[in-house]
Amino acid sequence: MTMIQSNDKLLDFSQSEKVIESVNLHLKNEEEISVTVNSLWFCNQRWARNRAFETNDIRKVRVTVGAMRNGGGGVFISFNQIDSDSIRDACNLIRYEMDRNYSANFSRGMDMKFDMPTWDSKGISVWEDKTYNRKATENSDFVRSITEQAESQGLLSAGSMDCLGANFVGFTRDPWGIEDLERGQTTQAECSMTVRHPKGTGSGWCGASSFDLGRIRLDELGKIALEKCLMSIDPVRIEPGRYQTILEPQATAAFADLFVTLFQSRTLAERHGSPVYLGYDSEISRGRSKLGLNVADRRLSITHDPENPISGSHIYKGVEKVEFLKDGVLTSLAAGYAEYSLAKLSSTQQTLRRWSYEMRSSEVTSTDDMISNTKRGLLLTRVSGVEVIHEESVLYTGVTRDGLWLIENGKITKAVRNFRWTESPMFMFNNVQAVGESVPVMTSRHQGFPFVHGELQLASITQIVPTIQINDFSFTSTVDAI
Amino acid sequence: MIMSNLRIPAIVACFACILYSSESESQSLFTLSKKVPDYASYRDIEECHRAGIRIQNSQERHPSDSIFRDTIDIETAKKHVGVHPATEFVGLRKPAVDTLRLCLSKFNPDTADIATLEKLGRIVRVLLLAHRDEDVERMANRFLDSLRREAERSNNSSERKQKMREYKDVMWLMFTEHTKAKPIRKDKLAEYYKKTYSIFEEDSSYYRIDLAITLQNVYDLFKDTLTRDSLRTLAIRLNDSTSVEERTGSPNSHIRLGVLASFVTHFTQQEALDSIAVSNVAYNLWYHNTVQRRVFGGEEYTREKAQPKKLSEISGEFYYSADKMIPDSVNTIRKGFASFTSHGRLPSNQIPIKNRMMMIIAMPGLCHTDTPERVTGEKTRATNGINCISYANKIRNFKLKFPDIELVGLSATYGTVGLLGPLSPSQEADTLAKYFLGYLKMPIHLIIENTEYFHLSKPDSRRIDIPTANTLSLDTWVLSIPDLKILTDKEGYILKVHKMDGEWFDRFYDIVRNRPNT
Repeated sequence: MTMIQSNDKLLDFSQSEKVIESVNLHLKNEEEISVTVNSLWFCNQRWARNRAFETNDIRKVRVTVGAMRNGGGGVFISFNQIDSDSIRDACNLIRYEMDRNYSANFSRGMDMKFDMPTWDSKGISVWEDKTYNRKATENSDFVRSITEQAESQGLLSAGSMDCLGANFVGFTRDPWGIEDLERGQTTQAECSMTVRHPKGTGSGWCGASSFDLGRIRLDELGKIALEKCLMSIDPVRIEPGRYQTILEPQATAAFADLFVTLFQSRTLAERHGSPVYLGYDSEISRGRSKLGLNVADRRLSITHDPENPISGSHIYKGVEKVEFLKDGVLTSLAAGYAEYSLAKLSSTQQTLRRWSYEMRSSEVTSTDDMISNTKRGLLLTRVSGVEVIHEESVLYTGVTRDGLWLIENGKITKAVRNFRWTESPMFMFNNVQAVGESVPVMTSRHQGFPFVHGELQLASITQIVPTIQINDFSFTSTVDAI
Repeated sequence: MIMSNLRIPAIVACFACILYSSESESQSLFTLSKKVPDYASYRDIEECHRAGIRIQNSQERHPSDSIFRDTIDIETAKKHVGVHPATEFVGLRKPAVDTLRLCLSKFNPDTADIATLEKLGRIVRVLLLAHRDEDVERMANRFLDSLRREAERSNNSSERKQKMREYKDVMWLMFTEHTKAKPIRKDKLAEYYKKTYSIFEEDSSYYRIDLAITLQNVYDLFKDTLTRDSLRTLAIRLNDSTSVEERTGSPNSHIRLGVLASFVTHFTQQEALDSIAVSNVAYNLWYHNTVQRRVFGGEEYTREKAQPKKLSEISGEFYYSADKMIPDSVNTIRKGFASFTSHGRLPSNQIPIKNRMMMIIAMPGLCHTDTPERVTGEKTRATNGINCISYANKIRNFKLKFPDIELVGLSATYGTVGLLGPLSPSQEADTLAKYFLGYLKMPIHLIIENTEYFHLSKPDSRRIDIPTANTLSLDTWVLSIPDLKILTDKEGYILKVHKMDGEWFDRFYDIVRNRPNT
């Protein structure tokens, strides 16, 4: 059996299929089997105080074999050695456990198959060669250039740069001898960094993620973080209160996430307690949601478009574009297949798409224009430590971080000490002054093997959100931390 | 297996590192103190209690290394390293018991403050840990005596009920604390329950039913001391003293009725028939007045109107029978839906089947087919697949055991099955038949009604189902109630069925089958 070669980052599909072939041969007498071969390459570089402290270039393989009898109970084992002896031992172990636990003589006599149709996930490919071809040494060079820039300015830099490639081949053989093989592959890249003043008087951040490393402008990330740090040194303390605030896309994303969550369960939206619940309709003895009603500023729309190449989520065939919010009106709610099927809205799996979205505006204003039109307001980089205060009114709290500036008479005048904010996205997105162009922001990647049961996990999330200017954003107290 | 074999020596080695580490390292949170804390320095019984709780918690939460530094000296700990407490429980506890005894010796339980149940609970627990059972009993009796006196003195019925509830709570406390602290002493517990019953005996039946539920649940524990005769006596008293209204008097009426029904095991046939009749009237009253009317409205049922009634004729557009199925070849089945087709509309007067006992079962029930899960693959096996298969097994076993009972699966169209798109009623019915009768091999008559529906206007677009004829005639507000089971006798009278298995159903079946014709 082929071992994973030193120059291969991943098992290729033919290697995985040879493993499956071998397992299938060893377990030919078992009634029903499933085999999944997951292969992962993970390359990352972490640095802090301008020194790299962790560099990984990891390749992993995990083979999971399951055998079932009588349409029910079974044994699953996982292993990571794919030489012929290891596969034979693993299969022997399965046979031993099966014989010990399940009688081969007992049969439910299931002589027919019930074909429950599935969504077609075959050939999942969210892949970009540029990400996969990234070398650990290139990451090191990149980090060195970032840290040198920070060091030359007397600042400290910390961050991480991750690239991931993974594929899987899944195989099932059911009691009727019908074999099914499916494949999937993905790449993911992510980079984020913080630059801080050694005395802790200033901090700047920048980050990005995508399945395509080419879409992350690495050189700019370092410069932005550095620039923000320099601009935020020695912040002044101003009174908390309601300010006209410009939220950069990363900050907008935090609130947009909380907002979009409200549309992600039609069942919940039709129950008391949901902010998009309208009321009980005694005519039909059911609750009604705010579908068809205005829930946000008329300029805002939220969509998921699997065909958008930026999103990288075009993984399920037949998944169509959906519009959750159109010109501020709630037009769709994510739901399970049955609900959509019965409502005759679509024939696709709506729930699969819910985490990726794009928020856009019908009128676009540049950030410079927003600043120049502001008499007195704030410019915010991002927020952290978001916690719920009251779920029904979607009231949250958190703190600003990595750059907050005061705008006076159309110009950024000084850095400001961080604030604790207390705000509701329902209020925010109905108090919009101006909206900028939408760009992808950084989202957290899935750790470990991204394919679970043949489905691509959170790795495919993409949020595309704009810079947004909000009237009367509520800052409730100052925060000493920088 | 290899991994698990390696794990045990690894744990032992780990412990050894901790135990033989230096003095300074032993200050770590995870290392053991080298001497037993001075319990004698504890100021009050509360501190002893807290120590007792720590012992309990450490043994409950850390089963593999449950040596708690408060309780065991280093030499004892060394002896027990790597030994699972389940096998060495007594050995591990002795130092703890000794120190607790030492701690408690300073305090006289007779003068302890047990003004509330909470305070009593704390003291009882710590005394039990110290094996001072005689003190526990004395304190519990003191508490119960005061409750009984207060109940007797009181003229206010609600206050009396409150005292009785507290009395029951003390009994429950004794039960739980005994089970936590030491092996269950059945005789002691049975005694507590007998005492409890004695005070409830002359009061409201609600509490007697509560007690009956508890007794029934712990019956297996008390077989030695609480004989079948005594349970029968209790059952007869309950049956005689509970009227229809009393059986339906609380939100948990259906549970109470189920428990009462289970008492048929202890009755003669006539007693059981009488009890079943009363319970059925009670069930009809309760179901109609508290469930049905909320959905469909209508007049409130009186006792006369709630008399047992005959099953009305079952209707259904699609009818399938397991007996009439022709096995298909795998190749045909792979091609699609053509394998199961309806025998047509259910012939008039066919169900109820004359002179046959019948069980009507809601078919979506426990075994949903409308979830977006795949039937093949790991996910399904962990969710609906297992449920469906085990549910089908249950139905098949039931049929094997009670061949006289005709099983009728009742379902209705909902517009979709699994991940199939919107289906026509006939497509959906065929698919369900293929699943229930073909794949799961359920030995049933499957009747599927065509549900009338309408769609709300856009953008809501929801499908709203209109109650079907069977839903209305069977007094079931939707057919998807998972536990809907209706048993009819040979004459077609509906009987409420608590559950489909167990000793009581065998007895119930015998009684109903041998029931003389009216």
